[in-house]
Order: sequence, then structure tokens, then C-alpha cells
Amino acid sequence: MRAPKADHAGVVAVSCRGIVKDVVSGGTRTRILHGIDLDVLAGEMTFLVGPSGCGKTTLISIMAGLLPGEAGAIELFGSHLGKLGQAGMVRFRGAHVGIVFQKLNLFPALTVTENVAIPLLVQGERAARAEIRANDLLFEVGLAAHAGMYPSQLSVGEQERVAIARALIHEPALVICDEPTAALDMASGYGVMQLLRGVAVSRDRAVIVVTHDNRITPFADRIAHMSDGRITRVQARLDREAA
Amino acid sequence: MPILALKILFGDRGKLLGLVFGVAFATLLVAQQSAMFVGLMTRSQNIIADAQDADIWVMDPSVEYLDLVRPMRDGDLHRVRGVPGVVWAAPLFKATAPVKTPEGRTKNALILGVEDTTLIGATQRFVIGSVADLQRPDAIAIDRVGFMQLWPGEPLAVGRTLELNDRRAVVTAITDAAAAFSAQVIIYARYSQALSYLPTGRNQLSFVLAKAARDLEPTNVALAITDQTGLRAHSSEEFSRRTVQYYIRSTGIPMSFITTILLGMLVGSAIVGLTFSMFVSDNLPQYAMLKVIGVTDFRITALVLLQAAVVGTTGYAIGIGLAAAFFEFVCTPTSALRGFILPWWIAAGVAGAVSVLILLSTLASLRRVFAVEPAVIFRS
Repeated sequence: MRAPKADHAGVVAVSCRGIVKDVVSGGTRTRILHGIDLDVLAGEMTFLVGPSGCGKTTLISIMAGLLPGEAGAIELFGSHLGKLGQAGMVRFRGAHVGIVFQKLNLFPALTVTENVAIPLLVQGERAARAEIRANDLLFEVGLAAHAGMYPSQLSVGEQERVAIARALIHEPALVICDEPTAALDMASGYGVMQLLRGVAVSRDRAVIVVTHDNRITPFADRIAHMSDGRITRVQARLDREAA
Repeated sequence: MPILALKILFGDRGKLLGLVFGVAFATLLVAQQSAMFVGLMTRSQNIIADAQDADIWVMDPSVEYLDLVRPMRDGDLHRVRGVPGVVWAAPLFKATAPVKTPEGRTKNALILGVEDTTLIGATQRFVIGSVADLQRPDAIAIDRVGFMQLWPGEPLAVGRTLELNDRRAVVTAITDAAAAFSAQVIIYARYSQALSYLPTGRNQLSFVLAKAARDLEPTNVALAITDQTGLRAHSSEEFSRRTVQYYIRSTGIPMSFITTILLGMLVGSAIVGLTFSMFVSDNLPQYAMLKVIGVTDFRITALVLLQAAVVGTTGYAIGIGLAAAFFEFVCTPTSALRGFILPWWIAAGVAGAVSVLILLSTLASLRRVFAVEPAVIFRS
């Protein structure tokens, strides 16, 4: 996997072609994704929306290299994920994917700085350097004063910002946010989305946001609508504004 | 990353305490009970070990162990002396009798009568005086702990008198004899004098102690004694082993200790296994999170093993420390448990057992860590 550092704004960062996923439960095989085709552009924030159970989480799991698909191909800045193998996929995730989970999954026993620094530590960065970088990022997300606190001492909105900082610290090519505003009130949700726009969206990075929250759709550059395991429509900002 | 593993471990203090308690409990119980058992079995043959001069013990054919005495005829001593390969043979009288101080304090004592002239069979460990002091009139040598029990709070001193079956005995030496199985007062006296304390019949010879010629194996000489006299004869080592084996085979002592040891292991394993399982279960989302951000199963295994090692080491240190404290402070020289110690090899053995316990608990828990799909974190 090459490091995507060139100016890629507007180019296809993530390309999904014919993604199929089945699950087997009680001896019955059920198809969850029916040949998904989707392009996510660099420098944009792409929203993935649709009703519960339509396959959004499964799709982002496959895009993040957390789940294998039955068929289809995914490319991230030109690299085929299917050719990486299991160990390669783990390394790929560590180096090139940042995820903000709905439940955040911060480590309660670690300070805010330590939580943010983990992805760099996993890649073998020295603790002192990782913590310096973490503190820089915490400054960017407005949590410099909370660096030594534990997650339980922060509000949900502040924890969300810690999770965003953690997802960005290793400068991933793909950032996936799963329902980032689900637990937040209107003001906090807006704050988090503004932060994501400000620090996550860059020319060499694709940002995918899975959401049910209609309040934040103005932040989307592109919205992919999903239903019953299919992409039914992709709407660009200009199309929406024209409509 | 190791710091991360330790912080996760120390972040859940309740479970950490449960884990450490489980390991410490198992360590304490297994180490203490094993050492007590070994101490008790050692005691059962201390009299044999203390008779350092002799390397062969001869006894009535029906005698299976040290504490079962069937008197032999006095002539048997001469028959043993006549066996080729026997350098010397000496009589040993062994019996139990009540002793009474002039102040009226009474205790049961183990009376050991050793040959009048050579004094072979007596312990060589003396605190005051020496084995030669047994040659004096009415002389007895009493063990240090026995002295403290008969004259509590008084300094060790010779010259005190005792009453043994209405006969006078004078303490002329104080020994450091190792405690016998039943922790009685141990008294050494000359053979003839010991017989006078317990005049119960014509045949009084409890054992014959013998020495094999330097170039002969005591075991072979013992076989020769058996062949030629019809008496039972064993080397000292063999007789020690048989005495211990008798207690193991014929009493409920080993079963009692083994049950306690197994229960200690079982309860300790249950506590550690369940708590560690709960600890891993509770932390599964965190392990899944680590997988998501690029930590391999191998590294997660190393992290979990590090956590287990810290728990095991801490628990073991506390448990073995408490066990050592028990033997240091409870098994004092004047207590009924005197002489009981925690041998290094028991501490090492328990460390091995605890390591296996921890490893099995860890491996059982790790299966679930391996099985967890990183994608589960989107649903957790």
C-alpha cells in the first residue's frame, strides 16, 4: 500500500465494484449486500444513509478491511484490498484507516492523550513522540486542556472529539465515522461535524460518514442512499442545492 | 504497548484484586499444606536421621515402621554382630513414658536408650553438654524444646531432676534433637538405665543399630542380616523411606493433605479462571478495538500473557510470602509445629503449578479473543 500523499482532490479514493456479502444464520444464507458499486472521492465527505438493516455497517466494515466480502473488489487510492491477505489487511487498517465508532470505544484506563496516541504506538512509534503528536492533535480539536483526563471525566461531545483525534493521528487515507452524532444534541452534533470538516477532510483523504441523522446532511459533499443491500442513489451537493 | 496492557489491567481494580486473591489463595494453601505434609513425614523418621552413626536398622520381622516396636530377644544383638560385614551392632531401646518435674508438671516423653558404653544411637546435636555426659549416674539428655515445655520460661540448664516411673533422672545434657512424629519430649539415656525406667518384661530390645563395613553397601549387609538371623533389616535410608511410606499408606494423613491441596488448586483455579474469563470478556471490545487499529493476534496474545504474568507473579509473591510468614512466626521452636519449614523446592513446585494454572486460564480466555471479529466493534 503506497502512502497517498499527492494532491488527490476530486479523484476516486475508494472504489467499490460488485461488493457482495452473505451471512449464514441457522443454516440459512442471506444476502446482505447485492453487488455494491460506489466511488468515494478524495477531499470530500461522503454520507452513507439508509434505514437500519440496509447494510451500511456491513459495507463500511468491508471497506475498512474488517470483513471479507463474498465477491467484488475494493481499491483504496489504487491498491486492491483483496490482494493484501489477512496479515496485510491488519497492517493496512493500522496504517491507512481511521474509524470513529458510534460507541467510541475509548480505553477507560488510559488518559485522553494515551487514547489518541494508541494508533501510533501500534505502528511502533516511540511513546514520547506519539504523545507529542497526540497533544498537537488534541490542541486542534480543542481538548488541549483535557489531555491528562480520563474518558469518564469528559462529556460525550468531548469524548467524540477524542475519538476523532484518535482516528486521525496516523494520517489515514480513509476515515470512517459510524453515527458520529447519534448520542449528541443538536449543538454538539454540529460542533462535531464542523470539526470533522475542519480536521478530517483533506485533499488526500476520503471521509465516509454513516448516519441516520438528517440534521447533519448539509455537511455532506455526496450522499449515497442505501436500501436492502443496494446503493439506490448517489446525490452530490450541487445536485441537492439545485433541487 | 506493554504499558497499555498493564493500564487496562490496573484500570479494573475489582477484577485485579479478585485475580491476585485467587492466585495468592491457591499459592498459600498449596504451599502451606504441602510443606506441612512434608514436615510431618520428615518428623516420622527424624529419630532414624538423628542416629547418624548407624547405617543399618534391625528389628523384629513384624515391624513395618519406626513407631511400631516389637521387642526382640537380647540374644538377637549378638546374632547380628556375628553376620559378616557388620562392623559393630548396638542395642536401641525405644518407648514412651510419662515424666514429671519436682514442680509437678507432667509430659509424655519418648525414651531412647542407647548402648551403655559407646552411646551409639544418640543424637550428635547438643545445645549444652555432650553425649559423654550420659555416662554420669542417673544421667539423661533432654531435647531443648522438651526442657522449655517442662520448665517454661526458665533458662536452659543442666542439673535439674525428673521423675520417670518413680525413678530419679538428672538432666546432664540438652540436645537439639529433631522433633519426633508426635512432638513429645525426647529423652536419651543409657540402655540399662532406660530399661530400669520401663521394666515391662524380659525382652526389651527395640532395635539393633549396626554399621556396615566400609567397602560394603549397607543394603547388601542388611540383606545378609535378614538371611542369617531371620530378623528384618534395612539400611537407614530404606527404613526412613519405609516409615514415611507406612504413614502415607496406612493413615489418612496424606489423603487429608492431598484433599486440601487439591481443593486449594481447584478453588484457586476456579477463582482465577472465572475472574480472568470475566476480565477478558469485559475487555473484548477493547481487544477488538486493538485489532481494528492494526494489532495482530500475536501481539494481543503477548499483551494478555503479560497481564497474566503480572497477576500470577503478584499473587504468587503474596501467597508464598504469607506461607513463609506462617512457618516463620507460627512454627516457633517451642510450638507443636517446631521444625516445620517451607522448603525451596515446594516454593518452586508451587510456582510451577501456579504458572500452569494461570497459563491454562489465559489460554482458555484467549480463545475468545482470537474468535472475536474486529467488525463486532461496530455492533458493540
